[in-house]
Amino acid sequence: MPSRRIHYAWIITGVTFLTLLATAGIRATPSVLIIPLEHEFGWTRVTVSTAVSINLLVYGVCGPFAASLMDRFGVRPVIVVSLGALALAQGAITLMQASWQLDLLWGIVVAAAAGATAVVLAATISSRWFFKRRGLVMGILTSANAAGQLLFLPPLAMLAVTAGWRAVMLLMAGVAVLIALPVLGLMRNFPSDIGLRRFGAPADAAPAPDKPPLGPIAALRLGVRSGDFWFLSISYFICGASTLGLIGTHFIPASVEHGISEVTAASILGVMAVFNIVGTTCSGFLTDRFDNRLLLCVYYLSRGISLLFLPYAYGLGMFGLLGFMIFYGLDWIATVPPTVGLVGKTFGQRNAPVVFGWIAAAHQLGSGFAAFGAGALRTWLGDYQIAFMSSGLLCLIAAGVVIRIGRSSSRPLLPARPLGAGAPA
Amino acid sequence: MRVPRACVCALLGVGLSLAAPAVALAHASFVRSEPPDLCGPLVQPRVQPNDPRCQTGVVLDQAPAAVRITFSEPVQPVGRGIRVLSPSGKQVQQGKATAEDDAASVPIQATEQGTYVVDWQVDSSDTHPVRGRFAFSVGQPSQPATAGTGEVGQVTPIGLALQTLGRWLHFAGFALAFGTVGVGLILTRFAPEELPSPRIRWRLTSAGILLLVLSEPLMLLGQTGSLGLDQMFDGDAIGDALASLFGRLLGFRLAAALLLWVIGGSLQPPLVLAQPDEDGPPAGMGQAHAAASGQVAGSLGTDEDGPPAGVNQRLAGWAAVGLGLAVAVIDALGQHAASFRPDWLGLIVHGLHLAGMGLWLACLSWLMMSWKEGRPLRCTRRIVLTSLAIIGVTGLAMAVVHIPNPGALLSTYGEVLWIKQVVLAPALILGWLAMRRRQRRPAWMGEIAALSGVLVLAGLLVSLPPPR
Repeated sequence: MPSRRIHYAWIITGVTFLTLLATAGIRATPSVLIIPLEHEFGWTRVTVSTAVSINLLVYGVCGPFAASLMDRFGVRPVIVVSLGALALAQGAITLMQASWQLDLLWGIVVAAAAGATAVVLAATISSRWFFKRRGLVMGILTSANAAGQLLFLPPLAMLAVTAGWRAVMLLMAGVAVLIALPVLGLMRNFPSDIGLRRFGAPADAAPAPDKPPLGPIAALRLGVRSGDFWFLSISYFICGASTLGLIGTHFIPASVEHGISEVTAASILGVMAVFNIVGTTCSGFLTDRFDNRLLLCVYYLSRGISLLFLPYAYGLGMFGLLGFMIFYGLDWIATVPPTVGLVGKTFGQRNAPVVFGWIAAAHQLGSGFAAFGAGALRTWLGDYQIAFMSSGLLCLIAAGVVIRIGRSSSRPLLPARPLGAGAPA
Repeated sequence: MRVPRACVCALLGVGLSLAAPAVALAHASFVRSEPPDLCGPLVQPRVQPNDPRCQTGVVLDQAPAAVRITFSEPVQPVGRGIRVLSPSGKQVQQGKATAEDDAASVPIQATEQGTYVVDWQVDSSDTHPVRGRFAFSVGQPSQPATAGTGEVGQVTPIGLALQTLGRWLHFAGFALAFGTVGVGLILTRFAPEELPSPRIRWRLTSAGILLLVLSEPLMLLGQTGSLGLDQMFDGDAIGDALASLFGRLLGFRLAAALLLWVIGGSLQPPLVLAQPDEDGPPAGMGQAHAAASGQVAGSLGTDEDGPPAGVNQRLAGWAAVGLGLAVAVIDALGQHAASFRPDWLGLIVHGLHLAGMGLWLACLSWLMMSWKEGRPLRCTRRIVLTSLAIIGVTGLAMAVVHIPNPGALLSTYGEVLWIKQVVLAPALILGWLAMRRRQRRPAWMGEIAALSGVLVLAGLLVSLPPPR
């Protein structure tokens, strides 16, 4: 029956948004820690970068396993335990003496806990609680990533300067504990736990099955046999390469080479963060209305073409660069909602989070590859033009790959059921 | 509203390619140098290149502070730039060569007496590499450190061969990929019954895209190999080539091939995926199942009952045509187009020549594949004749512009042009015979062979400097 109260799914979304916000803020702290740690312990840039690299690797790989844990133990325990681990690790880091402790605490513990409360959590929530508006919810939740960085980074930077880096860690530990409270109080596993249907689900929708979703390794085996899984992974790999790997890492040095100061380049990146939020939310809205493959194709096409013209944008100075950044910023995380949507349609909503966890790991692999590769190209060939153009061409390949999803499989993934049973004509 | 859309696409194609700002001029050539080249091409009185005085060059009293070479157009030093060897074989240039308008220069520290050898290599404004060598002596001549060599077109033979091969593949790929699209659009409008099946069209287009992609590494190696065998795989030379206008044009050509691949992917009929329910993957996946269930059009459905978002086929076709025109203009930018006055006329003439070639070859491929069916294919033959007319007119215009006087017909460029016409003749004759006698099996192999030869010679022609 129609209810005038807000569907509980939106409350769940709000709590999840706060969780993701906190996690994003915690993951943003290394950038304000590098210099203070170097001063206090006499470490080199390489030491902290090693911990960050381990963090990225573990964070990427943890996704599918976290999804499985949530299926087995429930969402609330996993989130609370992760937030608790984050708080403890942050607190322990303030007591650290040697760099291996940083590698362990930051590289492994924080990464694993953050991996459990990141985009895979968003995918899980959106698939469990929403029948309609799934894309929009996915967009809102992934925008928490960019919003978290924007929200926390400036005050954390100021705090690091005035009160020291330990204060930063303690503050973020406190934030993690604070966020755990509404999660404890408000988070539920399934709509059926409180007697609701998924948001927007029609009254005659099939009830939740008692068959559990696949575990991480089984999901990986399922995915590897599917052509669409490879298409999605390749395109998402290229997505990671062209966003975090290329522009995230190398935009500032490339701008400095073209005569733009570091501060200006950093503020251009900041402008981009705002457009990230706008872009991914709009993308979520569009995902519910249009063919997801077409959306992804358009995103990758515009990304590729803007990268190909980036050398000319530098020639146009600030005007061209701002234009590039606005365009690119809208595009940056916009690929997440349609990709999650496609995973859901290809593998079913039940297995979507864990399969998406593996595809998201490809994203991390891509960013690592491009962060290293662009630097290597720059060193070997002496110019960033080549790195930008190759990334642009890779994005075009991603566009061509993504538009071909849904046609490759010549045999059914699972035994085909007769069409009459429950599927619309 | 077909006309406005065609105009929009054509303008978009040309506009996109012109958004890559570049001044396209013909091959740069050596004008003069300081210290002067005794055997330079424009020096009066003319000294033959095999004259022994060329080995030692002019004899100066004092060593110059720098070597400065002036060309016929703005150039960019590439790879080694300007390298000066002392009589004892040491390199005496200080740092990398710099360019200033039409000249390139590098300071040197020459303390020895004897014959110095200057090796220079630059990129012209149309991205074609040019190199040369000359000598000068300080105090008295001596045995030079290295002997001079003369090559056709001022580049190495293997570089020229690779450039030609790369361009041949590019022309063939362009014809198969974009020519097929163009012919398909024309036939859709005027004679839909003559259209080849989508499967054949896609096969031809895919083959073309593959050739377009394969041609690029060959052109890159041709570009670096033109400067010397040792520079073909040299990181500096490759980096310079890719960082220059040549690299950008290469990137754009690859992008155009990939964009056509994307457009092609959006046109193929998508599979149906039924709305998945809670249990797992959707009720049916795989082509066999979709065909059996009788559902054809549609796409991966949306959660709400939104309209299936297919792609407008006509729009995709015109987008591909715009892309093809952009490629034609990009090609023209690297092919002596600005020997024309005004510049844009050269771009149009070159672009039309290329487009005509594409249409002709695509029609030929289609005719060959469907000849056995015995269909009349009148419209296709008309397209062949029209494109031949375009090729003829534009070809004549280019010949008139590039051969300024009858004497130039005897230059290397002029000779290759002659041979190209000679090889073209059998292709035309065989084609005419095939059109007249519709029953007997046309000599397809002969025609294809002749046209391949024409493409190779066209590639060679573009790689050579036009006579001045």
